[in-house]
Amino acid sequence: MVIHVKGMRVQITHMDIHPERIQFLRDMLKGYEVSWGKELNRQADAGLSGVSFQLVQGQFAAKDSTELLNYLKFLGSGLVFLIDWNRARKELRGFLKGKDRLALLARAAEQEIGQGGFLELEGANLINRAIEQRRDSAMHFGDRLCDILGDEGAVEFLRFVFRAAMEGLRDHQSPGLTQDRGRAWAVLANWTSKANGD
Amino acid sequence: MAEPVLARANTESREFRAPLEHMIAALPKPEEDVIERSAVDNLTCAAKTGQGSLHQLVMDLHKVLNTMQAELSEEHLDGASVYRIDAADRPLISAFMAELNRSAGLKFSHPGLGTTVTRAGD
Repeated sequence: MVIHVKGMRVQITHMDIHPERIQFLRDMLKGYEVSWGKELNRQADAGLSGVSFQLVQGQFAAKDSTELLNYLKFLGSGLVFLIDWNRARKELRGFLKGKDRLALLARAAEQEIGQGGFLELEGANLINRAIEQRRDSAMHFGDRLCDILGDEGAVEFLRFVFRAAMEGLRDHQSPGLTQDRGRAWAVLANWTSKANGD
Repeated sequence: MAEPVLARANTESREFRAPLEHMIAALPKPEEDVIERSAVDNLTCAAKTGQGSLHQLVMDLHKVLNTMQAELSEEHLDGASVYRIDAADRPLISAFMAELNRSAGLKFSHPGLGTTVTRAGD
């Protein structure tokens, strides 16, 4: 990403192979009046891969130096949430529907939790291990978590997991402890009980 | 990508030349319509012990380039490598970097967020 500041104007030039992440960036900056240009499809130079990517530019005109500083600060604080965003989105495929995955990642960014902790603790495996260890689990092969808990329940659970993973790593707790945190098990116990009709 | 590294007359650069030339020579010809799976694997995999891959070579080159860039930097300002900035630029850079650094911990062990700042034009 290239950020060009000229006077009170800030231009972002961003290239991405994932159009969905460009939309995430746009949504993240929706609190500011950023004028986005058309997304251009480009091909990497002839050579190894010919990978195509999208290029987009966003222009922001601050009304004064305070707003300029605030925008640059906000931009700086949000870039970390672009890292591995698409990988997180894919890791969540087995648990949530598409729109809920996007919403979860957006909210994780807004709350400055992010997806890094979840991925650091092996992403989907973190959830799957917890599910597999529940011998009375009502989940069967091919089920998604949202099919068992409902969309809202699955989202709430994943929000908890994202926060628990981030806080656990931040506080230098062991990954095993993060996984076994009492509330996570309580949530699982509640939903497997519900699924079993208890 | 490799040119700046190869241009340096040092041991590190020499160590890249031979494997790079070997891998380029081994690449499938662009006019062929079909590529073997093994060729794709070789291009994209990270190196296993004792083996190389183009992907691994690119990552290694990237690390060297990052080091070279840091060495070239005139100054570091709050973690950003800065070149030929004006005094008036500093508050903007510091404000941006303060927030970037504040949230950077959320990427945990993932690399990234390296920042370079310079004046353009003028």
